[in-house]
Parts: sequence; structure tokens; C-alpha cells
Amino acid sequence: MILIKNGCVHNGRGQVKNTDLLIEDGKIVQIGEHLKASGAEVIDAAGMQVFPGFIDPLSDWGILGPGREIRGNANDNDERSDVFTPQLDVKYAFNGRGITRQQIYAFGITAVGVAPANNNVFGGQMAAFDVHGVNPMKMLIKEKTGMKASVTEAVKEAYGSRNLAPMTKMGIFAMFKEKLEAAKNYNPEDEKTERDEKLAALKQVVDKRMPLFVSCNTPTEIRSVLRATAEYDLDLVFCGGFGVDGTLSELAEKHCGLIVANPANGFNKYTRNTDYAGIAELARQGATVAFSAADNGFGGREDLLWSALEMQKVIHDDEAVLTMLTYNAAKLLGIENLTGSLEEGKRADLVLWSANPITSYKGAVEMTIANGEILYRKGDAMKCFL
Amino acid sequence: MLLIKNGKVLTMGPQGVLEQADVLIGDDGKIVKVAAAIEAEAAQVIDASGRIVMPGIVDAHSHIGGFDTDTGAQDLNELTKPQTPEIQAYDGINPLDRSFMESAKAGITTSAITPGSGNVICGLACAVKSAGTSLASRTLRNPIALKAAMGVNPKGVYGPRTAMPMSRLGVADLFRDYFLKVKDYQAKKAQGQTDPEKMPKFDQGLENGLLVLEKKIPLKVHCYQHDMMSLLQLAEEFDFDVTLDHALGSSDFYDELASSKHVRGVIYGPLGAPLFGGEGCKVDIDCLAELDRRGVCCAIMTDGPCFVPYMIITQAGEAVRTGLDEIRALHMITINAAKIIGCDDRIGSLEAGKDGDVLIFDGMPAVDTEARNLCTIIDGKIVYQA
Repeated sequence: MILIKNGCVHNGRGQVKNTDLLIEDGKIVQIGEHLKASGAEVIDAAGMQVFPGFIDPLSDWGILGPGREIRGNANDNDERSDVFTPQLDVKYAFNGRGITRQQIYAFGITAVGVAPANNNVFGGQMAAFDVHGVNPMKMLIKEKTGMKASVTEAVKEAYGSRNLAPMTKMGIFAMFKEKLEAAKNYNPEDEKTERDEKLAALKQVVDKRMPLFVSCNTPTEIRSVLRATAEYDLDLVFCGGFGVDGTLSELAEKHCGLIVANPANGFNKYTRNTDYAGIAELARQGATVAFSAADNGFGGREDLLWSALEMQKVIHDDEAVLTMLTYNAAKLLGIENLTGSLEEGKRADLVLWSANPITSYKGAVEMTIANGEILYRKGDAMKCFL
Repeated sequence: MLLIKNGKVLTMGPQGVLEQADVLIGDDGKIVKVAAAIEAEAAQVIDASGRIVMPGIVDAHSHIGGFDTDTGAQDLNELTKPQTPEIQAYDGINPLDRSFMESAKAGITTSAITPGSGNVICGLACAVKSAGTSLASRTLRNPIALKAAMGVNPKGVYGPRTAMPMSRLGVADLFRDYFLKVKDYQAKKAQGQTDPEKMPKFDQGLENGLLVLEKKIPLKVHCYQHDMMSLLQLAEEFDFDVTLDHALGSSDFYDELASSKHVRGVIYGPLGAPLFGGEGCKVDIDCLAELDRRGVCCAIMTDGPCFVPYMIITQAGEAVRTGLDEIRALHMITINAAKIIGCDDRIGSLEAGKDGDVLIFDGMPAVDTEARNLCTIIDGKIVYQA
């Protein structure tokens, strides 16, 4: 048992108060003032900000970086042999030691969504993982959290450059629509239907059992996806968010998700026009906004918070930004009943900060607890790789 | 004349922090005086009450204007042979590139623009202001350093061509080969003073190396981790000054860096990388507080366009997060950077006689995450206003 006393608790859903938190068997069992628990390790959090752990819903942690393959294709979430691979499952690529070694928990991150790369039109199924461990299957918070799709230039570069389809947006969207229709019509119950794992996987999206995460770098790509899916009732999450502004009201009307990528990389020509005020307005109207650090395997553990700081600079609402960093990310992954906010019954995924890191660079991680386990205390030596 | 009144002035110079003071810039674009209650009837007055006034930010390592991020065109990596000391970044810079205006907006008023790191000996770097007219008029000094690179970058360019350098052995050999030639050239030139017959044929590449051996400019070296130790060996052998650029992994070498008489400074960054093996095994911006304590002159870079300009402040904030005093952190993006690139006679602090490069923030940069640059003044001219 761990009892955290007198912290300023931000629950991730807009509520802030000075209170205590009791953790047992990996869960938050009680939140309230003046809690007592005999035998519990008591942590004095007076003066500290207690946050839910941050969640990056769309990352490649555990796949790139150390632990990656040294021969063959090093990017194990990037099966570029076939542009239509919805049957693939990212859990088979996840390396527990790979993510653990990155020590992203020491920067306040306690869960990640991991996804196939951006190079296939339908790339495969995503999963949500713990940030510390060895056995990937034990680290699974939830599998099949989403289907990853992409309609960006990356698809054209991966296939068109080999004279394979799709070489153009026409090719991408023809395939996009054809496969959705085929998945809709796929009926494994019918004896005459030939078994097709690809269509069976994509059918989960059409049946709304799984959200569709679509990588889009421009508002035009988002609008094209909205058109291509207009006949379907889907859970849509757009990834990238570059150039999105308040005029894309359809995102709010359809309660879409929007994962805003980190604009810090100046080589990414799409990042420059991100309209945070417009995105925040869409969030107020019903879109679920979260952030991601994903940058083709070169983002560091700091990038997720940096993405959020760009939003904070514009909207000056740190609790709303915190919700985007935690609860909203969990919601997009369908794990909000498990984590993403500090509420009784949920996983004890929380971080003690010396100051609010959304408003001050003086905010440093004092302690990270994930699944009720203390993963990091300030002063723990950071490990390097040799 | 321009008079900036009543701001909290972070001079970054001998006057330190002035809680309420004025900055007067003359018609020649130079600072006349920094003091309380300056009277100057003819001056245009900017009210900076409640604001932070500081010198323009100096980015000690950048490639802006040499990489067109829209088209992918680049003019700073001449990857046709691994030693290109005769080339200069100055010839590869497009002064109209929008990165300059974006830099001015973020508060960077001078960038040290250097060739890329694909070659072992890369070419000359220069210091360029973010606004003004022609490149010639905006260039504060050329050259400021001869750029060189160690480690995986040159290996990654030439190794796949089965050419030297394919390994760190080849990198070190090419370093020594070049400076031995420069030494020979130097000796022949000395002989040529008395015996014109022995005067060697003019060689621009070797002339540029002479500037380094004569310590007129430092060798500006892309290096990480253990490559820094190899570099110090070479600096000892040939007796030249070096700046350690990137310098991730410095926390393993405090004693060596602090005691070396060859290290003019450490230019750290960019942060925001996952941990890799080998030279990428540490991301340790916490090293800046310790290096600073030990008297090593430290700066922070954007490596633009790797990072967009505002990231220089974000990274200074990250150094603050690890415990560095905020004024020391701001030194690292102003006066320290100016010193390391050899331009502190002109820029880096608010002092009488220096260039009128001034910023006005609405919060404390590197502490307050929402602090915004409201006004950029370069050479006494307002070039950006929020």
C-alpha cells in the first residue's frame, strides 16, 4: 500500500484539490482528505502537483531505439511488403526492454499506444502498453485498440516509388473505399465466404468495434477521409493535426479524435500551420484532442509534453491541456475505464511533479508510479546504453 | 533612436539583472546606455513596464537558410569527398528563407550557420542576423569556425560507398591527414617568407585550416559521447581550440571537459531524441548545470531546421527543469553562445557599444512555459511585433 498525503491532486478531468490518495494492489482505492492506512508507505506530497501519468496514444516506443533489430528492416512496425495489412498486430513487434530502457516514465509517461507505421493504407492493429517491463504480453493494457491507416505522402513514397499502387491520392482513396466496402460485405458466417483475415480485421472497424486512426498531414487529407467514410458509421481518429483549423467543424460534429503531433521538427514541412486555437475550439465542440510525440522514431520522451506546451501557449488553460495529455488519450485508446485520470478504482498511474510542468519549466518529476509500482524517484540514476 | 522603458532588464552582461531600467539604442543601431530613467527626447519610446527585456538570442549551431524544408533542397552538405575545408556555409545560404523571419519572431537574432556534418572536414561557418537586407550586410562575421564531424554521420555517408571513412578509424585518419597537410603547408609558407622558391601554391582548403592552427577560429566539431575524447586527443596533438557541438553524453566526461585547455565551449542539443546505442546512448541536458558549475562555457543549439526556432527556449527550460538556474540557462542562449562563436564583442548582452539586438517578453523565458516574445529589435530596428 502507498498513501500519498497532501498533494495538489489534478484528476485529469478538470478537478483540482488538495487531498490524499491511497493505492493498493495497483489501483487507486481511495481519494479523500486525512486518509490513514496502517502499513502503507506514506509519501509526503505537500507542495507537489499530483498528475495522472501522461499517455502518448500514437507512438513507436518499444519498437524503435535500442532493442530494435540490427539486421533486416529495423522498423518492426513497418511491413512495407504489402500496402493492405489490417490483419497485422503490433503486439508482435513490441519489445518490453526496448521501451523500459528509454525510461520515459522518468518524464511522467505511464502508458502508450503503439501503432504500425504510416506507410500502408491500412497498416494493422494498435495496442496500449505499460512503459516498464519485459514480457510484452504482460505489459498489454489493451490490445486491438485501433486500426492504423494512412493517406499521407508516406504511402506514395513507399509504394509509388517502386511503381506499385498507390502512386497517387487517387490510388490511395480508391483502395481505401474498396477495402472498407469489402470489409462491410465480408460475412464469415456464410459457408460460401472464403476465409479472409484481412477483411475480418477491417470488419472490426466497419462494425464500430475498433476505431480507425488515420494519419493525415493536411486538412485536405482529413476532408478526403471524411468524404470517403461518409456512408459509414465509424469511430474516426485523425493523427497529425497539422493545418487543422476551426473550419473543420465536421470533426466536432462527428466527435472524432484528433491527435496533434509535435511541431518541433523544422524538417517536417506540415507542422508550421497548426492552429491550436482552432483545435481547442473543435475540442470544446465535441472533438477529442490528444497529443503525440511520434516523429518517425526520432522523438524523445520530452516531445509529448512539448506538444502540449504549444497548445498551452495559445489557450492558457492548463487543466484542459492536462486532460488532453491524459484522459483524452486514454479515451481514444478505449482504456479510459482503466487509466488516464485519478479516480477510485482506476489503475494507480500517477506522477508527482515539483511544480506544474504545463505552466513552468521548473516542474520536475519527483516520483512516478505506474500500476501501483514506484518506477522512479527523483535522483535515481538514469541509465545509458553501451 | 529607440528607448525601451521600464522593463525588467536581463542584461546578460556585467550589469546583471536590473529590476527596472531602460535601454537606449542609437541611430547607428548600437546600444548607447542601459540604466534607470534614461531621458532621450528624440527617441521613439517602447513601454516595457511589466515586461522582460533581454538581448537577442544567439543560436550557436544552425543550418537555417541552407536547407529548404519545403522542397527538400539542401546546400550545406557537399558530400562528394570527406574533406571539404575550402567551402563555406556563406555560399549556401538563402537569406530570404522563411526560417530567418521565424527565428526573429521566436527571438533568435543571430545564428551561427554551419555546413552539415556529412563530411569529416566540412567547411567554414559564419554568423548571420535574422533580419536586414543582403546576406553580406546581415553577416556579422565570416568565418567564425571551421566545421568538422566525427562519428556516425560521415561514416553513414561514405561507408555505404565503400569509401573512407567507413569506421571511426577512418574518421580519425582523415582528421589527422588534413591537419598534417595544413602543418606542412604552414611550414612551407614560413620557408617561403625567406625563400620565395619554397612558397607553396595557394590552397584555400589549407588556408582555412591555418586559421584553426593559428587559433584565429576554433574547430567546430559535431561530436557525441566518446568521440569527444578522441577529439581532445587530436586537439592536443595539433594544438587547436575546439567547440564541442551536440555533445550529448557530456555527463560522462566532466573532468576531461573542464580541465581541457582546448575546449572553447560546449554547444549542447538538440534534445528530444530517443536513446540509441553507441554515440546516442545518453541524452543528458542535466550535464549543463554541472559543466557550468565547473566553469565550462556552455550554449544550447536548435540545429535548425532540425528544431524550429522557439525550441531554443524550450531546451533552456529543460535545462532549468534539471536544476540549472534560469539566468544561467539564459546565458547559454545569449552571451555564452556569443562567446563560443567569437562574437561577444558585438552581441549576446545588453551593454553600451554592442549591437541593438533586443527582445521584450511577457513572461520569464525558460521558466514560464507561456512566455511570449512580443518584440524583436535587430540593429535598433523593430523587425517583429506580436
